[in-house]
Amino acid sequence: MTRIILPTLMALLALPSFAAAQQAEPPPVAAPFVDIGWRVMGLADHVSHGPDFQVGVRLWDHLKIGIAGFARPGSINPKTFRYSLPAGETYRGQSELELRSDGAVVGLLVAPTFRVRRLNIELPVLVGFGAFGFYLTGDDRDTPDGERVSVWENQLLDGRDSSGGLTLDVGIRLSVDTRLPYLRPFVGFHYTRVFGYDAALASSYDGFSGVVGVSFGR
Amino acid sequence: MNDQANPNLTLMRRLLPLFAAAFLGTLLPSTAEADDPAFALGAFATADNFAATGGIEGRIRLPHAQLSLRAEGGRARDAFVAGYAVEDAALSRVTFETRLPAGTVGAARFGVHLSAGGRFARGGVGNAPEGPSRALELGLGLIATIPVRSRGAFRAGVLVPFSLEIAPEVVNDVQGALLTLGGAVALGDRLWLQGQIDTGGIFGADGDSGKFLFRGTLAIRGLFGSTTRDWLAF
Repeated sequence: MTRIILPTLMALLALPSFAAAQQAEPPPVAAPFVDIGWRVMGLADHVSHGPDFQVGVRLWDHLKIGIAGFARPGSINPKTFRYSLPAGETYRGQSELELRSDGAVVGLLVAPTFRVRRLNIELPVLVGFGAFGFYLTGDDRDTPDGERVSVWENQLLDGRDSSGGLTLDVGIRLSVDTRLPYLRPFVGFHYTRVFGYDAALASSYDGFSGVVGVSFGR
Repeated sequence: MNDQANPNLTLMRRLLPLFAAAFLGTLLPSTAEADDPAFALGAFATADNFAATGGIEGRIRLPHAQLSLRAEGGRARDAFVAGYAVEDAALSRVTFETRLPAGTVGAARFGVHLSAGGRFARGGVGNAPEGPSRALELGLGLIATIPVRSRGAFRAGVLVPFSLEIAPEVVNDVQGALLTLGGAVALGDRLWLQGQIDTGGIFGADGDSGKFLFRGTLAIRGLFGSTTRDWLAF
């Protein structure tokens, strides 16, 4: 996966060198933007990664509003979490399970922005919903009775295989102007809080994360 | 099945008017300067971490919208039916898509993509209930298209897929957000070659469906009554 994503991002950063230079324009009242990137997260006391996005409209050149989110796909994050079943209980002959985790956050975005020379400083605030869970992986997804995996996950983890709630994600993103007025590479730093989170394998999915990506639009 | 009590069907009923309005909006008379409709026919191949399909596409470009109809078929190594994983299923899909302009920033043109269609799967091996799987698929996206010199284009954006399986059981089996990156190059005045990669987390069916999608698409389009320049707009 890294072999594909990194060269793609590098190609994006190199785009200004072969695209036509554009004339500077006065800022419009409203202009669309699409920000795509990749997050490295320190949520729930472990390192993971996943896609990140922000889309919407930038108003008066100083306020982004729209929808934003990020995901922590389990398939591309190999870390597993060990769960010990109650004494005497087994699943496919195991008393300890190795579970993967996944989840996502999506919500409304408000981001005041301002410029210092060629540097764009953005303070994104995401308010929305986040949910993260833990799931059986590999051969353990072949359940003993052929029932859905989620039924067994609910049973084995006493209905606490996942949790979610109101989520607040705040951060700072820095981007630099390029020769193309609609393209800016950015880096960012965020803190995420999932209120009321409580799953069997984690009492919190809060934490810091970093993001790198490219912003299209204003 | 009590439809009134099913929250998935209630949600669908609320979303469908949005897509209907978007479609009807493209049929309204345009106040823009005269711009004759342009047509394109194409073929495409798609492969992701679950399935590989191929198909054909017809597309019309109006002054304020692009409309397309796609039909595809193929095999799914892994598919999900009513939350059960099945292997080696026949997969087919019909998708109608509308693209509407959403503004420009310099040479970058933004478009809103709305899609609706049906997905059909049958013949999979697994513990799923008997019978074919039928699902209603909706999509929403915001994509920036940037001309690269005079014969190319770069695309980037975000797609939001949504799927509601309606048979053999009613299950919201896909929701998520995908990053999309792609490019197109004109092979001549009337021939586009396009490639695209979509990736992101997907969720559904209480965690029993796919969890991550990585999809590549390669398409070739022949143009009628227009040239490749006319298709850079959105």
